[in-house]
Amino acid sequence: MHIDARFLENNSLIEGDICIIGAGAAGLSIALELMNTPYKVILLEGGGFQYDDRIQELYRGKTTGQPYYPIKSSELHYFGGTTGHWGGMCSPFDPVIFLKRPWIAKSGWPITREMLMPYYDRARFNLDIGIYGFDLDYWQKQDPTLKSFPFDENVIWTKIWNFSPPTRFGEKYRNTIVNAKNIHLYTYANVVDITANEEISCVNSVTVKNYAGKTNNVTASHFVLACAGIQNARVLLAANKQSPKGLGNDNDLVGRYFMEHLEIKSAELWLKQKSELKLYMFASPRVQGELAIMPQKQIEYEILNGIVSFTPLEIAKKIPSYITKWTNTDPREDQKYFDQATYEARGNRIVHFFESFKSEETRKMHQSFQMIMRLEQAPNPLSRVTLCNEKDELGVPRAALHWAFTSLEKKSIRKIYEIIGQQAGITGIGRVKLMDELLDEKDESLPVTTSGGWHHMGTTRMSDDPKNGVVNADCRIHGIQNLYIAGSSCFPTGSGVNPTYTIVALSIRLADHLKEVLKENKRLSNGKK
Amino acid sequence: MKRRAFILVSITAGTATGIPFLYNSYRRSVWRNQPLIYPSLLSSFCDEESLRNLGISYRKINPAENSEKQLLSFLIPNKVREHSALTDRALESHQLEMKVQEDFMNNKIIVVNGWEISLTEARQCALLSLS
Repeated sequence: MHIDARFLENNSLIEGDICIIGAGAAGLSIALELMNTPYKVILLEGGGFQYDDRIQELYRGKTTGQPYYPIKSSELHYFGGTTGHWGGMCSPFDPVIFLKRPWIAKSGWPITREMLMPYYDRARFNLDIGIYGFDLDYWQKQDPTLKSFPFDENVIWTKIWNFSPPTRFGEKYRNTIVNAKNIHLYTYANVVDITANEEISCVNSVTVKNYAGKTNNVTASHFVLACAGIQNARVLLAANKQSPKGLGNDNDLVGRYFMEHLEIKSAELWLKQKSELKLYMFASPRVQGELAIMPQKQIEYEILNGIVSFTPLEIAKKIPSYITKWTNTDPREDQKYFDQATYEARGNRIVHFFESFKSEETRKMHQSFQMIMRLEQAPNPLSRVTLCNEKDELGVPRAALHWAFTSLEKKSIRKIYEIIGQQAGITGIGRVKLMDELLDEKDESLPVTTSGGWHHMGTTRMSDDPKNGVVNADCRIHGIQNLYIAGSSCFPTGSGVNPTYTIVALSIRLADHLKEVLKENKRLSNGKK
Repeated sequence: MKRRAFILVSITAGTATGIPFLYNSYRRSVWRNQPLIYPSLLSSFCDEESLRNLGISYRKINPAENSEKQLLSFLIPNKVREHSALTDRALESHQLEMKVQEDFMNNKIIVVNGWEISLTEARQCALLSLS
């Protein structure tokens, strides 16, 4: 069922068993799992079914520290969320990510990769990725020309990405959600406040507003905040009428430890003999390899998790770093710019007269490749989301993001290239060349061209200990019995790979937990009767 | 007159461009036949000038190796140098390639002008820059 909240009567009360705030990858994955259950699900979406710049404007904020994208254009605010323009890159987090890694402060998840595996399996269906997606052997049997580098397998391995079409959740799941009998989707319902009981141990209701001037309240036995990494923190911090520091923020953790997923053009690989590097190109529509460092080497060298992709140098040089050009506050304009730049770099390739005599296959051969590092960011309490004094049109303070790194990021980048360079030397395939910004070992800063993947993590981090995390292993806020957080804001650490696949897996896990909790509540209330 | 002028201009232009071309080709072939100053893998994507610059940078990083004598002693230990087999360029080249690989295996790696190269390669470049 779909209700446009702009046409509700003012001060209406909406009641349900569970209220999901946000209809992006996380919120929709939970709603899909709760479909056809006996529970009434209220799904609140701040925007409509299409991009609307006035709605997007509610996300505008300030940034300081390391240069970052405009907050307004870094997440999408309509049904389907940021899947409206994501690239579809999926790969699971490695088991090492979930471990306590002593050299990374505040690392360690309260769950293991093994515990998440069944949910990764289920998440494949939401994201339309195949069953053999991450098995290099499988893909090499399908296509023997997908050759991996001849490196020592105890040092470097090829991690496989699988590509979602990419699934646009807004398009794919709109009818399913709207036609689901127990899902009540409210569009143009922006949560502006959360009200808890007197002890602040249980949320009673959330207040929603829109530009039509309507203010309504939603009650439910359980609430899930699924508004993505920056907005989850913003909503909690802004709910400060009962807790001055914000809801769930007794230990001053909400908004802290903001992490991105770094993407840096940082080195070149020059080959002795030209190669297509087919396995490592975006050649196949569904699969691509990237170089990753074996876990025992990450432990030995005390480095962050990072992976390296390859693009022919002549093409890479024509594509600017995202951070320097994704500067428009309208995400559609930013997207258009990069689509055009990529087309010009890849599509309108000037072919030399003599080169045109060569076969198509030979023309794909290259001697030099840009290496792009994708690196997890170390948790850093100074990298954080806070509130601005300025408020949006609905009266909610805007988000302020201060993006900051530790010294571990640069150390890790250098070490990873050192390892790859050594393997390239031992095998005699070529040599690695570092970019100038990495040369000074004493300089811990990262270049201003350091981009993020628009992946916002860590602002409501997960830990069994309330002093180290906002939510527990079930993604429930410590001290509040019925308020949960979905999405990458719960990640205590990021990874070298993109977070969407893990967001969906973790959301399905949360949905299973909620179903159990609701079932138990129902059993108890039936027992009382 | 015009025809004669044309021929003269053509010969002069041909000589002006041809001689440096032939000279450079000759130099390249001589250079490539000297394994000690020809890091073979690096040479597949670095031109002679870049390699010379690598060598200059290496000598700045390691002033103790700022002489031909020093560099030669690292590249070819005396005993081996005296061995008659080293008159064989191919063998010499092969031995240097092995030495480069051993450097990488033993972590004798140095970053010069951004390049992650072996110590042996760096010394070959340094020797080239002194030649």
